[in-house]
Amino acid sequence: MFGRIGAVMGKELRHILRDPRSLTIIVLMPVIMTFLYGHAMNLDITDIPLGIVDHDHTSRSRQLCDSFTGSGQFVLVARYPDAHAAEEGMLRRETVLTVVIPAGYDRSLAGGPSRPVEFVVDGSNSNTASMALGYAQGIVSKRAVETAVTLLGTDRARRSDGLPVSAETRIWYNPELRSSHFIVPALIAVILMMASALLTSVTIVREKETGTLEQLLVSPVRSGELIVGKVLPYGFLALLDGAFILLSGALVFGVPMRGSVVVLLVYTTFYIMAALAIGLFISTLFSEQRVATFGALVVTVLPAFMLSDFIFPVRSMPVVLQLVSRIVPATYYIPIVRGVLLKGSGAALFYTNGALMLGFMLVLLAASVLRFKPRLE
Amino acid sequence: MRSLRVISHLFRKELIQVRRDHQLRGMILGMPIVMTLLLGYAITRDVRDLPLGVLDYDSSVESRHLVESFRHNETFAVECNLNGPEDLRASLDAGTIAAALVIPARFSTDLARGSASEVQIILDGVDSNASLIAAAHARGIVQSFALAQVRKRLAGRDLPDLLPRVQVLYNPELVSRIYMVPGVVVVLLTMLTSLMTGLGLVRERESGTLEQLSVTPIRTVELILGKVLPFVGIAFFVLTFAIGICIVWFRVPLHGSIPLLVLFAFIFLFNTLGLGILVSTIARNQQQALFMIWFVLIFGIIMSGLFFPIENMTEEMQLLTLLNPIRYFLTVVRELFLKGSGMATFGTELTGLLTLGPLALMFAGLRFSKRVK
Repeated sequence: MFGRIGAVMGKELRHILRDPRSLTIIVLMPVIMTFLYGHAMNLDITDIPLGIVDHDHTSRSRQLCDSFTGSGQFVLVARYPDAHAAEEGMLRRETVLTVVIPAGYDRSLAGGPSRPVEFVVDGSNSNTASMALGYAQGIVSKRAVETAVTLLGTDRARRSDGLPVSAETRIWYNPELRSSHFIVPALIAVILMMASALLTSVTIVREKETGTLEQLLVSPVRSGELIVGKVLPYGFLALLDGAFILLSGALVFGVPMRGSVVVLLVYTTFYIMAALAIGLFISTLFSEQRVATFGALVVTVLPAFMLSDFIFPVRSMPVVLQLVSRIVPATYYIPIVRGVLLKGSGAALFYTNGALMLGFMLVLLAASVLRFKPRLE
Repeated sequence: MRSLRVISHLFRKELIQVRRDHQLRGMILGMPIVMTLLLGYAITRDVRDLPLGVLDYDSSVESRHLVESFRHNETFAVECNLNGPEDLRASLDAGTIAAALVIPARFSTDLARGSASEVQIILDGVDSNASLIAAAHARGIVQSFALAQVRKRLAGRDLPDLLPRVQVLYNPELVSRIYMVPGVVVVLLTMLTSLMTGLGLVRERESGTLEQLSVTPIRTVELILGKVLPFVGIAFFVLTFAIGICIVWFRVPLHGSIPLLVLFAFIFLFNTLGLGILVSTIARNQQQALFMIWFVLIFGIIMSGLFFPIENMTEEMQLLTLLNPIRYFLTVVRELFLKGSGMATFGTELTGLLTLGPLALMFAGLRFSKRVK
């Protein structure tokens, strides 16, 4: 039995090695993707382009400007004469946030009629906008409240100089807040899915198309052995790809490995098995390579990318998509890679996830065998 | 005149082929739906309902007030009360909570005595961007809580209105959908036109009919035009569909001019058609063509600023995006939808598209005619 599986595997490996284009995809793709995505998928927001309209021209208004430019989050790109010019600048994409300091700002701080500062924000990218607003509100409110408390406050208020309650924020696991630490580990999930599910489904359909699958089935190789032999080489390649990404992630981006490699390896094997089962199942659905490739891309890669907490939080999606994400194996695998790498989590945390991936594999395997047999024998 | 007739014959032949190919038809109809759903609903970076654990050492009326104000904020969802620092670490490790609020034992006493008190907010920083936003929101919540306390203490004497006024332009409710959905137009147009051109040409090569066509009196230019023009027609059908979906289904208003959008779409098509033709000269079969186009497009889309702002990329990557036509078209589509900008603001985009498009098409055309001969 092992001899026959080995023979099928050898044949499949030779197929892979003889097709330089597929080989390139398998070997080069993870490297290019890690490198490009690690650099390009950057969600950190720094140096927000800032515009200022200062109608007040007092030392206090200048101090306020300084606290913006000195905050490290903003870069002053333009001073505008009035709000209208500022809006034009925003239309030309020069600034994301413009601070309008009204005339009388200084006097209002000294107890005169109130003249609040105005923020004009380019809301088109809600993410950048809410971040910019958060920083800006922090800066202005802090100054305003400090001034108010010291200038207007009673003795009791003055005693506490400033706000009575403040928040200290601490960030765990990724204290430098590097996007690459968030993205590179999860990239393993996407690339493994491509390397195993996509390529398996395509090779099986290719044998169907050329009629060689039937030839194999009339040989003494049993269909179970055939499936295992055809699928295993891709499983190994996927594991290799995973190791590749881990290594380049550590070397290029300094992604840590805080947990145990063995734990990661075990769960990764489960994930790859689930992915291979998907590939197998897809190959039973289609009979043409072009369609199988397309179907596999839509069924495997897209969900692993979009419905798995890879970058887009499933929590913020509509309920229907949240439910769909439950049947995407990457949803269960991504917390494991991130947990093991960044948090140093142990195996025990992920028993459910592992069991679900295995269950997923068994169901799909059973379904594929059911569809496979009557069609080919 | 003769050319026109030849091209129109080829045009008809191509349309008949598209109509007869069930799988291609499925792709043309199915892909827009899948892509629209994903882009409209799945692609969100909004930070919402972050599970928050509370470790309240004080358990007083005031501390419960503070927890209440976290509960009322849609960034956080108060998930559970934690039993101690070990529980906090274990829950964050396991990912059952993504943030924790720690209120010190002397919280209410300090508040009553008027001395400063500090609460701690611990965030799971794995998703760096989300945790930054969450941190900003958490500080905001605590700040307004503090302000309410100051007001109470000033007993009657009102604070002047010193908090900033905020005016959000173009997307007042700050929903990422409005920013993402116009991307549907770009993604659909790019994927469908390049895939269909590429696959269509490779299929003719595979079946050998391309060679048959090349020995007929049809010239290469006519051949390319005849094969490509039907897809231009389909592209405009897709464009209408995508714009319609954005406006009617997702209620994203289009502030700019539709003719301008169509004009840019037309210029942009040179690029995708060029990609399709180019791939057809390299790929040996449809599957390879599909792979190649898919990977070029994924890179193109990642490097276009659709999901990840270009400003955040490294210098070199930013330079690289200058060669990416999708980047220019995406900017135009977004600005037109959200801001209603006019032609005057699109100088860079127009130059970029007008340089890259014809270049790509010319290069692809030359390679193609060499291959045919």
